[in-house]
Amino acid sequence: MALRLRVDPVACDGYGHCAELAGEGISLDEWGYPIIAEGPIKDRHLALVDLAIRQCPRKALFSEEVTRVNAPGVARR
Amino acid sequence: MIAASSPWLWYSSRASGIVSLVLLTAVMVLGIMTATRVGGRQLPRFAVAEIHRRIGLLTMVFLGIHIGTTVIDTYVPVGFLSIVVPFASPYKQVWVGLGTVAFDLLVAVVVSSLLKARISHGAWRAIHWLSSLAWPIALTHVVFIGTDLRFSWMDLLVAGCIALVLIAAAWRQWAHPRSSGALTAVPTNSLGRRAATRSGPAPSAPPRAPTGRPVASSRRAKRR
Amino acid sequence: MSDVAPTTSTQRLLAGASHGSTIDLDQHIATHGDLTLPDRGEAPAWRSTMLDELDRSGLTGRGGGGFPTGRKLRALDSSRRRRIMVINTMEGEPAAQKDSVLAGFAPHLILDGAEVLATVIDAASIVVAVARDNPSAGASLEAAVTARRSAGRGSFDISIVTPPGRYVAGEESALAHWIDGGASLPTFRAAKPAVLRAKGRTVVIDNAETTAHCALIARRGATWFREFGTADAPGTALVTMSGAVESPGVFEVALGTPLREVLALAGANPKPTGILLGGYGGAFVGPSALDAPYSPDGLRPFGASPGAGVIIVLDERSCGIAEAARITRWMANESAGQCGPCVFGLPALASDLASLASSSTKGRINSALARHLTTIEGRGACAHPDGVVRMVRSALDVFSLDVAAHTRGNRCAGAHAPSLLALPPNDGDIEWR
Repeated sequence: MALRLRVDPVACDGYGHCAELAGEGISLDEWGYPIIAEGPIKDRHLALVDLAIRQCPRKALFSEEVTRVNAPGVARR
Repeated sequence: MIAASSPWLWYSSRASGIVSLVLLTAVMVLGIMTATRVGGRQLPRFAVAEIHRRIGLLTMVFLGIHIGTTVIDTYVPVGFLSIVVPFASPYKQVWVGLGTVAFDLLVAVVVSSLLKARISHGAWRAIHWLSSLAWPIALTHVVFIGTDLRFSWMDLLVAGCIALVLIAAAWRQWAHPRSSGALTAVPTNSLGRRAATRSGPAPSAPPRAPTGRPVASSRRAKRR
Repeated sequence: MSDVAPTTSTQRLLAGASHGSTIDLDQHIATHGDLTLPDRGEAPAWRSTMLDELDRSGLTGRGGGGFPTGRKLRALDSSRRRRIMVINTMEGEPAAQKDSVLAGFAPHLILDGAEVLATVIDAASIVVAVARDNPSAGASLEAAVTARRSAGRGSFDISIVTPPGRYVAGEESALAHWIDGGASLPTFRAAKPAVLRAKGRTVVIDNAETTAHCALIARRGATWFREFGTADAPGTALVTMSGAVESPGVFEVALGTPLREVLALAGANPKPTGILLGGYGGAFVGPSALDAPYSPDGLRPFGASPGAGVIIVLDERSCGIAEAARITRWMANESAGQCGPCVFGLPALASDLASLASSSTKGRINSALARHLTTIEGRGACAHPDGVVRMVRSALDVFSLDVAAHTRGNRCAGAHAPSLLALPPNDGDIEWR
């Protein structure tokens, strides 16, 4: 089961803890908001991603199953 | 009913009370720092938040010792009821009562934070904000309960605690001005230093819009 | 801007509207014929037939989404939850007037369509949402509801509600949220399409024009509907034309008509430099698109779509970059303010474009502009920032010669020409509830 990281942009308040914890998968834009890398979460990142999800001060980060092979990696309209 | 009388109970109560105050002050400062989103390579922001939480729990340990020893000790008649019910103590009713209020608030914030995943975010935030009153209330309890204030180092300690929180609050207000939300979202660049906080765009030459007025920059704040 | 085109055979929704006053109930029945909806007992069979007709008609949403109406109605959840049929007359696009015109001239078409759709989905009630700052449209619909009630027509409870007239307030999750008692703010939905809820009921939202088409399809059938339009884009659509045109206003055209012919209806400048299609979150096309069919498939190769039927024509008197800059500034002010990339990104984009339009950057702006466009896209809870990015990208493409000139620092005559855009003041205090 492939998992993909997503962020609820309404809940997100730019704390940036996720980018610090999840390293490669998340970077911050110039205003401090997370940019999530495309593609499923790699196995070796799962533990850190889990921590990032739990530590998010606004509970904005979450993971979901990738339902399509070529699913976009970031929140789409 | 456990009761005993020993000067060591009294000393422990006072000592653990003082430690609790210092720890609570640290919790307040770290809470302000978490909200201000300070952090860099040496001390990431998530670490500031984590230390804030852990010192909070440590504070409860010392508060437990403080309250436990006070209640057991027969030197001062503070009953078990006063642990949670404010103003129920025959000894220094008001000032012990304030201590109880502070403790109640802290229990609320700790419990709500442990259950954070299960309660609504709005409820958690409301409790968190309310619980920050625990610090000034605890401070009042310390100052007016009168114990140990005859020592000048105690004056210094209390003054120091007040100063630390006031400085942190002032710094947040003036060095990181914002009305709400993520205007304080400072991105961590590779050097770990704070990038300049944005307070709104400054267009160099706005084209003539029908109203002729520029965008109100005070609105550049993310809704929470 | 409320003139309506002279009667031609494509005038279906706008039939009879050329004499300028509201079509009352009797005139409505005289013009379109009567519509009888089934009793409770026959409803399931009727519902099935109507859904088939909607599918066969190929009617797609006319509010900008373009989703097949029949398919959308079929996809409703089968829960026992009751349903509310919501007719979206919010029309947050300042350059769009079609829904307002329809509500003003032919409210009974909208209300008929609402009853048809409500019967199809077995709704418990109908809610028509009109922007608070559009009192004439609201009044017209209210009067029509009252007239129907007096005449003893209709078995649905219809209420007119007036959310604040913000740009994003017509977005379906924002509308559902407002109806549910919240603010007109779009909500984040992890999976789309998601079911919208308000007051414990499932909410189904359709655009006012789409609804009006349903009223006619219910009477005349799918084959009639397909008499105009193309195989992939059947039927007629309302467009609102403005800008460098002699007679701005709302027109009804057959989908698939070449863009040049559509523009000619409004007396547009035959040599436009660019045309904004869809809305402020739509896309500019250049003169190369003039022979393209006005339909989703026809415009797709040019990166555009009919959207909400907005057509704004620009010619050599204007500067496309300056107009795009004004739109971006306006759209930045319309942000719901919930998502960082939109709240901070759109003003940054507006700033970039303003600098470009003022020819003061001497080449420095382009990398910031490109970076902002990539950063903002796809990271909001709704499509608002995406629309702005699309519009800006298309402007940079269509007006590429102007971009080059501005970057070189050349002064542009058109940059200080009066704007051809409808940009109501929106930088004051905002109400969202």
